[in-house]
Amino acid sequence: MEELLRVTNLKTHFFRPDGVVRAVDGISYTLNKGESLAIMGESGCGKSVGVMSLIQLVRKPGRIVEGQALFEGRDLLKMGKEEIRQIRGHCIAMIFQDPMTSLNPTLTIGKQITEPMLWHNYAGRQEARERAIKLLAAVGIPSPWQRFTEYPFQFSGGMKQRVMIAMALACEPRLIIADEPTTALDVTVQAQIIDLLRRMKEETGTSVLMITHDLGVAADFCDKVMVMYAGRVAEQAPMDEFVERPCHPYSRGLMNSTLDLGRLKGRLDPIPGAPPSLLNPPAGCRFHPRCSEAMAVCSEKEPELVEVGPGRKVACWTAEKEGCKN
Amino acid sequence: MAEQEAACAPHSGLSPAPAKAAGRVRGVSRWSRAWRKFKRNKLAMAGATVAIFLTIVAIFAPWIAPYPYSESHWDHAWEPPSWKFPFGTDELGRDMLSRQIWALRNALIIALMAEVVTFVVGSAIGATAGYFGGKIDNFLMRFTDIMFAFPSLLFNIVLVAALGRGLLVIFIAIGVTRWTGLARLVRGQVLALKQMEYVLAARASGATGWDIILRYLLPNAAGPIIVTLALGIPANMMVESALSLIGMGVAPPMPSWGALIATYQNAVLSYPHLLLFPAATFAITLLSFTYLGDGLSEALDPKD
Repeated sequence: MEELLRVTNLKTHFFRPDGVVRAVDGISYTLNKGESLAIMGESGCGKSVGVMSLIQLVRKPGRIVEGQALFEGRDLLKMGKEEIRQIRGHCIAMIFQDPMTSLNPTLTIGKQITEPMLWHNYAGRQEARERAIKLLAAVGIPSPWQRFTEYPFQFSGGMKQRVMIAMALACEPRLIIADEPTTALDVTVQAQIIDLLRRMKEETGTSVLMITHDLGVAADFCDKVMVMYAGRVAEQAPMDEFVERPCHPYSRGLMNSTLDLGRLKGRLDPIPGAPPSLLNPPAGCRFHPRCSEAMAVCSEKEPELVEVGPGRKVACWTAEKEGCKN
Repeated sequence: MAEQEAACAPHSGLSPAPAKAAGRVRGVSRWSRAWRKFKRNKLAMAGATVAIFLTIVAIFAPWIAPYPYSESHWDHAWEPPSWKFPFGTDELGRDMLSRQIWALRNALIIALMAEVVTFVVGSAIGATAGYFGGKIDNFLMRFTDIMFAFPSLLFNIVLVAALGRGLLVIFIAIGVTRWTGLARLVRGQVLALKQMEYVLAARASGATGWDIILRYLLPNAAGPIIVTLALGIPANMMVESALSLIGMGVAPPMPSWGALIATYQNAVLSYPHLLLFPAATFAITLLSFTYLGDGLSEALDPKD
């Protein structure tokens, strides 16, 4: 498989008056063409900042301090303003979490889908219009030629998310970044949107980076998973292996705090404690204060991300010593 | 763009576009919603009707006014209202109706053009400050503060005294002292709007800074901007009249409400029509534009 994206040692820090917040602190991963990668973790662990860094959309006082993100051989992080603008929406498109607030209330749906195509000289006005109507039909919006001239407030949440997907697909991007695309939707609509995303992915062959904290959605949709904790990678694995036996204690914690309807457990096991402050992360392994398997070494030295199997990497001392147990 | 076709695989699987329906239905924009709300407001509709009527009168003043504004009818000086001169005549036998129609025309030209200056300067400075933030914001807003703190009537007088009493000078003078409020408003709006998710979404789909300012920020701030501009029209008329009242308005024999009122305030007992008619028409004009502005602010209020 051909490699599309290779991120190496990406570090994005926020330089605040009270100190440096290391929101993303050295993450590396690769994504092949047509593949989908789930990035999982708790709120505030650096998932969103990590992907926003790829298209240089980190808000002040955040700054990418180090790293490389090779997208088809070109480093996204080194690109100039105009160069990266041409990448955004054209080669890499985004789908945002909340469709209710992600559409401009003063522009018609049609304009919002066609404009990126015009910005990127992807198509002429007439072609863009035709393509937009086609896309609206493809994402399952009934009577698209009519909806084309309507405004966002005339759409329901699920319909807006379909529109967002149509917008993202407009310029045939090679990579779609979906930042919790189903979090703001209710469960029945979630399933439809995931189905739609899968269909679009299969039809167009784009790769997908999906940020989510919904393990069910991730397991359903993605080929690979990367678990982040406190700005660092805890574990990377192919999805089916990960679901079978998560390796990092934190990953197991995530699993245990997820409802499993097939195996009616009495209760959920939440991970005790709260994520650490990224202003002043704990020494050693950042997860050790909350880890039930912590050893002496965990509070002293930070574990490296080591390979424990094909396509599997874990940053944990227990795994380093005895491989992946359970 | 470098690799346009290389890696963006063509979409083959998209379902074909469905056949177009016979009739195309247009979306209901927020403007048509605002209009519906505006129509229900009787006072605003009355204001708008009068304002439109006055605007038409002002535009066609040269044809509507029964006499030229400076034509003297020496045998008809100081006459009370009659069929020939509905608003009476002044000391030179000039028709007061014609003079007031021209006064209306001058007031409207000055008020509207001053609003254009206000809009251009105010929204450019406010949007730039809000959009870029940081040092640019600081610099522009301190400049705005200085302009705001300046006694504006004095500034107007100085400008008019230095550059003459032409229409152009007067509306520019009024415009450059009145943009500060709009600049602050636009800056505040832009600051709030640029945090919106859809602005980030636009950026993520490759919008340039200009696309964002012109297509995302200003249109979403349009409601408050329009209201401020509409309410600025009567305010500008007041300033224009104040300038005329102290003899710094449009040069005679061109009439102005302020000048008319100032000239005849001493004649109120002997020739009341010379003061009452200008005062009444001026008041009606101001009220109609104020009600229009109030109606707009209610109709465009997003919290409904």
